[in-house]
Amino acid sequence: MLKKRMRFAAAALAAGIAITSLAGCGGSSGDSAAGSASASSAGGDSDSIKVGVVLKTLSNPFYVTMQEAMEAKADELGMEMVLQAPETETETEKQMQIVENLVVQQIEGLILAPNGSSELVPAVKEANDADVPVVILDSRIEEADLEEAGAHIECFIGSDNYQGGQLAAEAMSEALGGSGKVAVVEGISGVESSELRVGGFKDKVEELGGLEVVASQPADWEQEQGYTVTQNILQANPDIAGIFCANDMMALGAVKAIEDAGMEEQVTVIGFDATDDAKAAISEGRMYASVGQDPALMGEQALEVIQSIKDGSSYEEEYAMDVKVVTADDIG
Amino acid sequence: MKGKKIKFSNIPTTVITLIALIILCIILSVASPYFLTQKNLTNAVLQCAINATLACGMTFVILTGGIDLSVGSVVAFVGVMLGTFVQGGMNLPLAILLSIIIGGIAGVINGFLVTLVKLPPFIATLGTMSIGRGMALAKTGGRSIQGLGSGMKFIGNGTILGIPVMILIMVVVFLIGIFLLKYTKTGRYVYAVGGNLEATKLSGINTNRYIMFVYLFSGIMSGIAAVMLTGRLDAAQPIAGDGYEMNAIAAAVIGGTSMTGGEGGLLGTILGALFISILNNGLNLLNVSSYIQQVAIGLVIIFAVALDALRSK
Repeated sequence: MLKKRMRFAAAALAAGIAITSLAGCGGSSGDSAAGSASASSAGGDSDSIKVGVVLKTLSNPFYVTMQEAMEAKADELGMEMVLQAPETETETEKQMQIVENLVVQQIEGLILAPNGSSELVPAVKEANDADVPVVILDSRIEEADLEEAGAHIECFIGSDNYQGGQLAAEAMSEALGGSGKVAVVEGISGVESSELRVGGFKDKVEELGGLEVVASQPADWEQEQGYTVTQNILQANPDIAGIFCANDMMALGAVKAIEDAGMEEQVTVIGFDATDDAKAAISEGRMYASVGQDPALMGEQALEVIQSIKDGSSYEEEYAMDVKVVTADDIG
Repeated sequence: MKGKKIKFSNIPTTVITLIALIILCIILSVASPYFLTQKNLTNAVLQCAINATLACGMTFVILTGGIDLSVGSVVAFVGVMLGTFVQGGMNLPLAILLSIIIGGIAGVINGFLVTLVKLPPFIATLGTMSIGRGMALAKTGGRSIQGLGSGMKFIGNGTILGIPVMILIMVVVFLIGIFLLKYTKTGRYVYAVGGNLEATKLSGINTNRYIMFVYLFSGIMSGIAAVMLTGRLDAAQPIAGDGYEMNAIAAAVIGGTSMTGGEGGLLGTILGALFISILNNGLNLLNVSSYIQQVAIGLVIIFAVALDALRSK
């Protein structure tokens, strides 16, 4: 009998925790919603634009930087912003669900950083059907697929990834004194940003001559996979001199693998994105360089385009944000 | 507690899940003005269709005391096969049929490993999970297959009489599943195998046959889910379906199916799948971050099973 009561108490406690924590979530989101609503009401209640933002994930600092900049910018523009993201960059269907759930909330603009170059076409179509203008951020959706589905986007904002890959190759060649064996750690296969960065790097390597790409393997943008893939590359190519990683998460994994193998004197690592973590590693001398995109600027530009669409003022169909190589000298 | 006329433990689990679902809906309709719109409710049901289909197969497997971890990978593999067929110009109904058969074959392999090789289901399907994912990636070189034409789009995004095709598929799947489980010998033996394997064996029943059946059924469900997912994205991704096995298990468990087998059913499972989907949908509408959504689902699973354990004592 006592045992039974104990069990009941335990279950009741579990229920209590579940309910209060859920209520807590609801409460906090309510607060933030109220907060942004009040912020925007200063600029005129009915005029405030409600914009939905779907990022690739929030487990990569690149997108967290983007998120923070966008929140500030939305406040400045007097917009009400609803931002959501799946847990990992492989979750395409989850992004689609989020878009559906945003469209129901009567957003007046959608900013989407798609996890896939054509899989989100139905989501864009869904927004189109609800007369929600769509701005694509960071990586492209295939034009042909959009056309075929009768969907359209207003604008694409991305970094010049190909140029970034080329710059990385130049920096690598410089760091290695013009010759040596190098490896490439790619992002998710088939994703445009990875293909372009890697393509730019390899094309430039060929053009410059001297460097030799001895391995090129995908690590799906993830730090842990970057570690494993690099470990394997080091095993197979003990005389490797440089590794180019298509993002910084993988580059940080590579740096760790190189350090664990005791080869940090020998191998030069260049990443992509110039995240804060990567910059820290660069200033500590653990990593050589990273190709810097500006996630904050990209996110802000996207919101400005939505504002222009709403105002009826002009905007470009495409913004290729400049990239630059960040080394220890730039961080100072 | 003694004096109460209606004993808590006598209320069927499905009724409790249903009540919980209704309470959730009431809370969400108060919290968000967008929740109780026809469009949103359609979305929420649509968003559970794939998981519910997988959970239907998973329920059969769990009822025998087994588990099928391979479903997400089978979805990916069948998806890329379907994509290859369709892009190769194969007649669509034939391509779909072949895809579902491939799902069934994957299920038979699982069943074979569990019954004849006598591997624990967890290990057998952990192996096929990895094999399926690897084969999907190898088949496509990691790339997704895109642009599969209007037929596939119709499955993913079309409607019949205003009802999304995906929802219709889910309903048909469940009607078949419920019929099998409730009104056929096979269904009764599935429960018997999970309830007491030895006793069932001793009573002269070929238990392996029914264990084989549940993995076959789960494989077929994975095949159907793959067709749905490929249609929804109008693309076949080798990385698709990652983690779907866990969502399917969660739906079955929230719906009251016992992990030790022999107890539970499909009505509970569909309610469980709906619960997860509506919770996710509602938290999206309330702009709660995806991290917290995970926490919420976890709490629901623990709470549902704790409640069940309490009631069965």
